[in-house]
Amino acid sequence: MKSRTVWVPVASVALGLIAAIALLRGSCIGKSEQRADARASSLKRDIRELQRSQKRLQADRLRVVLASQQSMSGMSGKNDARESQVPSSSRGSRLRRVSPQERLLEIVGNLERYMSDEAKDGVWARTREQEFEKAFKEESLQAVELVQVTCRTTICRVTVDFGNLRKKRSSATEIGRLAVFKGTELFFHAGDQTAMRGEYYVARRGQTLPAPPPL
Amino acid sequence: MGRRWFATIAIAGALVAGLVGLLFQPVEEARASDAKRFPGTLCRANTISQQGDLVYNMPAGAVANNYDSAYRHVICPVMSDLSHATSWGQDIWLHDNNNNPNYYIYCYLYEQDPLGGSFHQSNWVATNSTSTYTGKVKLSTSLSSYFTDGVYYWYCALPPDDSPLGKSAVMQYFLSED
Repeated sequence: MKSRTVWVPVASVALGLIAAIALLRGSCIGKSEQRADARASSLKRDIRELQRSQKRLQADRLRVVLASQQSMSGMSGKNDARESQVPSSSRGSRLRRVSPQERLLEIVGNLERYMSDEAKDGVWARTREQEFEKAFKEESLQAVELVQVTCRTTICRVTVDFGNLRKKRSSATEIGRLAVFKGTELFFHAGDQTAMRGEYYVARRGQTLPAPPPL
Repeated sequence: MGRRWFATIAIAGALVAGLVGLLFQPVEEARASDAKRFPGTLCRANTISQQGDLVYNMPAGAVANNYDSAYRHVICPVMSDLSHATSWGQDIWLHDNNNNPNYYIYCYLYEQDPLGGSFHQSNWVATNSTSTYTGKVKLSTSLSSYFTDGVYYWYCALPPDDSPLGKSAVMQYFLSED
């Protein structure tokens, strides 16, 4: 009788544990299957999305390269910035991989489109342009010259001639730290490696530069 | 009494097994993210001629301007793991020990194009220039990632040594990426 009293609870402990483990395993396996299914359908969606966007991306990239080349050669391309934004289909894609050269063209193309599309705040733009002109006259920059400055509402493009290539390489960051640039985010584009000129795209104080096309 | 005790043990055993199972349940895969902290001693002079004016490990783990007459400029490399990070947070801890209100620490964060010609520069961040002594300060900035395979670094200007108050230094800096 006594041995029965002992074994019944022991058996119930064992059964309880077995039941708990079985439930747990079932729950885990069920969840893993659900996750695997969700992941598979998500991947299928991604593949379909990538296939759809592939052609559009190729066309867009070509347009970006052409726009960038136009802007670098002094032709102010008046492309529709909204149209030439990187397609939404590429957003969230983790597989897009562009070379550093292509990426640079994309960035510059994007900034140029942003500039050509943005309305001009006449008062601010003129004031800021004068600030740059004055700063480049007053600062002791040796052979470095301000070629052109163009401001819109939230961004300016400052084109600088460095005189010689050695100067360009050593001075680009130093010029970016002049007082006239303080309080701003900026992007410097060296342009053609053989050219003496470079361009600073400078955000308005309190603003940021437009987001680059997503990678 | 003994029966009750065994029944209690049986229920408790089942509950413990259940709880252990819950604790070890696989969780959703976390998004790839990373965060790192770097000592100021990783910084070096922006120009080689100023390297001798810097002092390392005074205070510990920091780089400081040991020169008593002028700013010295340092660059501090930021090592990134994620080549396609979508968001960044960067902090830098500084020790501004110069008592002259005309001197303060200011820093920029840079992203450098792998081709070498182009760069992306953050808005500057600076210790309080209106007060005479700022002491330990944390400055923060961020840059959205522009380049394919770009690299990041801080550029900081350290005021001259203002002994006996002390030297101005980069103590450490921090990167989080997601």
